Amino acid sequence: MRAAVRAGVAERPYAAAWLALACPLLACLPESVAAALDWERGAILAGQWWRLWTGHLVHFGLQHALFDAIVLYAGASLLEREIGAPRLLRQLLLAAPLVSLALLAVPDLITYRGASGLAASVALAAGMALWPTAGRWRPALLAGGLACAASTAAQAFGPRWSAAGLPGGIVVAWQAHVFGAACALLPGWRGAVRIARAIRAPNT
Amino acid sequence: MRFLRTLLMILLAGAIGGCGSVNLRSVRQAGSLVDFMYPKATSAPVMTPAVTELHPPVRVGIAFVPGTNRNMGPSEAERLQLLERVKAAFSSQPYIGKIDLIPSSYLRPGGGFDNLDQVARMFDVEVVALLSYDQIRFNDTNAAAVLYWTIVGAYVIQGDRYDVQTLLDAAVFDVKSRKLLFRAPGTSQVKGSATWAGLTEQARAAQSQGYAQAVDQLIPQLQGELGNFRERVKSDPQFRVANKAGYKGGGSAGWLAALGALALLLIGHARGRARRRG
Repeated sequence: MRAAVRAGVAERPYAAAWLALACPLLACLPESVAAALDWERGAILAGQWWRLWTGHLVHFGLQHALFDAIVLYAGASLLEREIGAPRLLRQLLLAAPLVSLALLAVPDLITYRGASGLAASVALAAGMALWPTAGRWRPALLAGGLACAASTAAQAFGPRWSAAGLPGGIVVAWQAHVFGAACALLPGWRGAVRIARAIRAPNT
Repeated sequence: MRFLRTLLMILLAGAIGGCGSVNLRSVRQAGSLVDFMYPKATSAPVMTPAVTELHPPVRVGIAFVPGTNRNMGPSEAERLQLLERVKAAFSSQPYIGKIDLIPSSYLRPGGGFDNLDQVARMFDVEVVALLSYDQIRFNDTNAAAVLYWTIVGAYVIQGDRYDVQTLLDAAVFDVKSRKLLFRAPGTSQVKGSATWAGLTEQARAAQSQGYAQAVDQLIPQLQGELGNFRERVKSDPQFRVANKAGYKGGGSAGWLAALGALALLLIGHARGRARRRG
């Protein structure tokens, strides 16, 4: 326990839980709130820079929010146990605007909502962090990763309207998943995991 | 004097007899899709093979094909009620965006694709569902009609029979490519009997009921065709699905990724337990 505290490692992943909980909670608020927080190309270019972060927490509906919250919690809670809440939040605060800025390059996308970009980032980072010590669980880990990849590929190359959990008229912005997964390769994640393990190793 | 009396009797008999046959044997209401789309066609329309591009969420307009004259077919209020129900069938599809009901006065008989283009621009729709209709009401009398001669019988004896047969057909067109995407029919038959005095009113109600029942039958067919069309678009090279300029995107992990994430969570916990035991 002491070692965990010294390493900043969370015994219980409260930060991940609050982050994941924020998604369905915000989805229950009036549409005007979501509209003020979502990723909107025109508004961001006009200087409403907070949308680079908040756009990842608002959704187009409860079902949409729940799917994203599950993936976000799974990845973030595992990482929080490894690297602690402060490092997790720092990494997410860095990844969120990077994904948002990359979305500006997606042609014709005017509005974006969803935590799946960040969810892809933490899920992949958690998978990579688990891999070296996964042992006999590696095939299952690989299957989980392939399921996530297949989901994104289906959304990218399948018919645009087969959106999971999205209301009518909303297209899956699968590019956010790709950008999010790319953020999992940021040196911060691996570095943080390595540092946390190094601190913990002599004490466990 | 005898001549006048005879003439009066003949006129009276003719008048009373005429009461029984004042109703027409059949009445037809029709709004033909072919008459509207190709009013002066002498040969089959030439279709140039082209790829139809669909931009979900597709904006849809729904309208009744205009009849050959303004008094034909259901009333405007009835039409809007029927169109509302068809609209509900469309709105259950996730790839359909806004749906507009187009009043009959915006379409003119024989207007063709030019008229459809105008309306599509006016309502900002890409696809138009046109409801054509053909309703025939047959009127017959039964044996009891003979009692109409008593005049009171005309008000109490149900000596008139009606049989209303309705066909509704929803044809969905892509306005830009002028291609028929799919169609769905609905039919109904309403039979009944009425007194001579109440025939007009009851037959009119039966005609309205005929349209309503035809829509009841049309809606599941339409939903089936919408589903079939959605599948057809995936494999048919004549259709291409593209993003609309200025679309809204949702970063949705989807249920498959959620399952994968739960597997990840389980592995993480199993590994954590093993580490704690070790």
